[in-house]
Amino acid sequence: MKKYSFLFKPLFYILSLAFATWLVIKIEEVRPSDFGQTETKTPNSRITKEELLNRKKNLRTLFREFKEGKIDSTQFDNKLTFLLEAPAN
Amino acid sequence: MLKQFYFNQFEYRRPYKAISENKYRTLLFQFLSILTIALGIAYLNWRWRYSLNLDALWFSVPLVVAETLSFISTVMIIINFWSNSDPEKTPPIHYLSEIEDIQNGKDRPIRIDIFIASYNEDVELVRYSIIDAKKAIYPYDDVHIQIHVLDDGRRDGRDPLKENMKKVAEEENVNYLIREHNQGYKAGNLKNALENTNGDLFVILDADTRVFPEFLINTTGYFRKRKVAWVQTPQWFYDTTAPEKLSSIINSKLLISNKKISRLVDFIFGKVEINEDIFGNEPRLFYDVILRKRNFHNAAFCCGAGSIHRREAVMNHAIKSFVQQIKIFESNLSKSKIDINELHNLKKALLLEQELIPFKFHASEDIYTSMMLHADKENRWESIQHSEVECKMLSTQDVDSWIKQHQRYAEGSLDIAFKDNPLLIKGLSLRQKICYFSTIWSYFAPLWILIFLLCPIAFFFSLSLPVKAYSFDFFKYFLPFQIMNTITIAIGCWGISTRRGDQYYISSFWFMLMAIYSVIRGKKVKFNVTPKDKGFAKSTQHILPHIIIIALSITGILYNVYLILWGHHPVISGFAANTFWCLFNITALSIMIRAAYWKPTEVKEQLI
Amino acid sequence: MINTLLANFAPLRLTAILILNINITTMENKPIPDTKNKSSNESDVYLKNLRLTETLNVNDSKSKIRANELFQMSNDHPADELAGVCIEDVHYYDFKNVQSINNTGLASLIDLTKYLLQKGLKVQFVNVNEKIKEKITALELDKVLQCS
Repeated sequence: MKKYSFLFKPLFYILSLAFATWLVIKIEEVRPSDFGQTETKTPNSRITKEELLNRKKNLRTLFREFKEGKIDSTQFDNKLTFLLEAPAN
Repeated sequence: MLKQFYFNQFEYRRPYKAISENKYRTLLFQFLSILTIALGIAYLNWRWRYSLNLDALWFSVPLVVAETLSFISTVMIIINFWSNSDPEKTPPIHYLSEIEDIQNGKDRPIRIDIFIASYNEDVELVRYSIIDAKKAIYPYDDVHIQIHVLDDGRRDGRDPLKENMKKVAEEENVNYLIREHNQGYKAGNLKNALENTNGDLFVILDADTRVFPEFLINTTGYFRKRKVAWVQTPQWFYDTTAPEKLSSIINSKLLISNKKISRLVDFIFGKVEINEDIFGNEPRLFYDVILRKRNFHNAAFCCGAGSIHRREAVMNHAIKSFVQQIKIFESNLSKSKIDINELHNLKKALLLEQELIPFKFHASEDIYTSMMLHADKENRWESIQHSEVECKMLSTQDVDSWIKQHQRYAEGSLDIAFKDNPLLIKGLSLRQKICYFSTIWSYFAPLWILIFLLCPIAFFFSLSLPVKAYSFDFFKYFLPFQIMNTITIAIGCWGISTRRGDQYYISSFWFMLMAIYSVIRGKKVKFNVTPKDKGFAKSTQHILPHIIIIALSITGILYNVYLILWGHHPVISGFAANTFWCLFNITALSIMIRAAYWKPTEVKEQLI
Repeated sequence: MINTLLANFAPLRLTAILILNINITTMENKPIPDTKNKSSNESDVYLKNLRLTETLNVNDSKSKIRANELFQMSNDHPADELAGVCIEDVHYYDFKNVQSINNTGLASLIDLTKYLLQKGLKVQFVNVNEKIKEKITALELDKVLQCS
């Protein structure tokens, strides 16, 4: 066992990293925050195809709701602003 | 009867066996290294382009710069560790013709000098080194082996208040050499020795270096290869602190006298051992991995004690340096308008002033001279890092001495970076340049280590994150790179624990920052002799920055806990991530605080 | 002038260049010449060291060249040294029997040159063979070590 004791530290480090990652993700599920929510505005940032599809889907849902009268114009305006300013989920 | 010292209790200790080469492990390391570099580049690319928090650039940019600089270290380490190339061991040398081209001259058995450099060490301590040097065996009786004590302290009896080193040398029947000044420190001392001796090979030992009997047998054979200029053997410290049972420490600190409680503590904590090599003196990682793998690049540098040199190589270097200095001066003179007589006088004065200096007069004379020898395009000198331990030495026994010693190394290496940067030296191969530069680069590490230490604290008090990204891209890039990096280094350092080394790498940030500051200011790098005696100075001044950072970290954590409890914390996940980071930092920093206050317990040391 | 010279360097007895009976083998591996057959003059004035001034220490390594440093002699022998003669402020060393030289030897020559220069003397190495001259030139020492 002593022969392989040098592996304790790297193993411990990797396990700690994995645990910390899992914990952060779990906390975000329970109590979401700004972390990961805000789009980084850089000249080189590009919207991926998946994000584009998501955004399209959200917009379609919003317009359908407005058309069906489920939401009024103020709500429509607020949600539209939110969707356009936030990154696609 | 020899004088007894604290290290007498460690006489039974034997050194480690060098890790054996394994080509499959090397291949695995190379494969993982490439993956690590690829993942690292991907991570940094994403960090710079997509993850900067533009609302907190004061935070984001320093961190990403620190990560980038740290990655450069990783790449250089990978290059250093790339492959193993242990030289073939050959029998010891008998005749001069085996190591030198004597051009039809009369052959003779070689002569070997053993230099024991001393300054102010206890003369009885040096006696141990002399006695062990005398025990060095050699298969050929006609090979002349002469031991010389090089006493820069001039303790020849002239000062009755000082110990008499000359008397000890005479009692042990070895040669005693002094000089009437200390110019050039140890390098100057060696120069004087070379002027007064005539060995074809010479061994450099410190005052506390005790060679094993087979030292010469196992090292002289390498010199059959005419290009080999020196052979460095690993420096092994036989007096590093032994591990102590945590239960013993608890019992002694809490003064537990009740047997039942004592047994309970022993039951719970008995298997846990701490304080092994508390001063981080064990250099096995450096010699058995870093320097040994540099054999592949022909970049293993001399570390002073425990090395054996070819006189011809150092004298060749001395002559070339001598001529070089004269040429520089003459070319400067020729540009100025001086009459012939004056020119002649100046040339004569220059010749008189210029000295033949085998080892560069510098606080880090060993690495500096090694670099210059490696850069010799004409001779293409080679160096060898011998794998097995052939001598033992004493380590620093308190934080103050440890820091003085390492600060000297740092200042010396940084001084070389500013004066004779290895990247710019002609004659060194690209791989040699990278290897030498990586040594020097490691002394700039405190610049990014400080950022890594302060980042969690910055988050705790500002509640700003240095990273913003889509979803959890951060972990997608960060985690594979970190895990692969950890596995790669573990494979590269197979068999050797890097725990203490990692702790001291971080913990050394303060004195190394001071070293950088000192060198930038142009302060002359001094050669301080490392005390070899045991002292338990409470080096509070050295650990004050560590205490401050730990205090700030803990305060930050408590403040954030308070915010969470009151529901005002904007990013609890960030708190979790930074707390983990902080705990790693605190663990690393605490080692120096523990070392500063460490004293051996009353419990008898367990035999290994 | 010679009288002045001798007066200035009183300990020196030599009036001609000494050719030492050096314990070497020649290129053809001829046996070592016997020192006992040297002329009485040479055995009288044969010195282990050079006494240039009254302050010169007999063990001063800078003042003598030990031939075994130059071409790796097998033993230390009093004869294995090169003495010199000083004529008109120039100290001459005869390299007739020196067939090769190594870096340590060159370093000795440099040290000797400097040492004598300090005393106000120049040094000239005579009868230096081509191989040694090439080595000196290759190291760019030809301006420091005067050879002929």
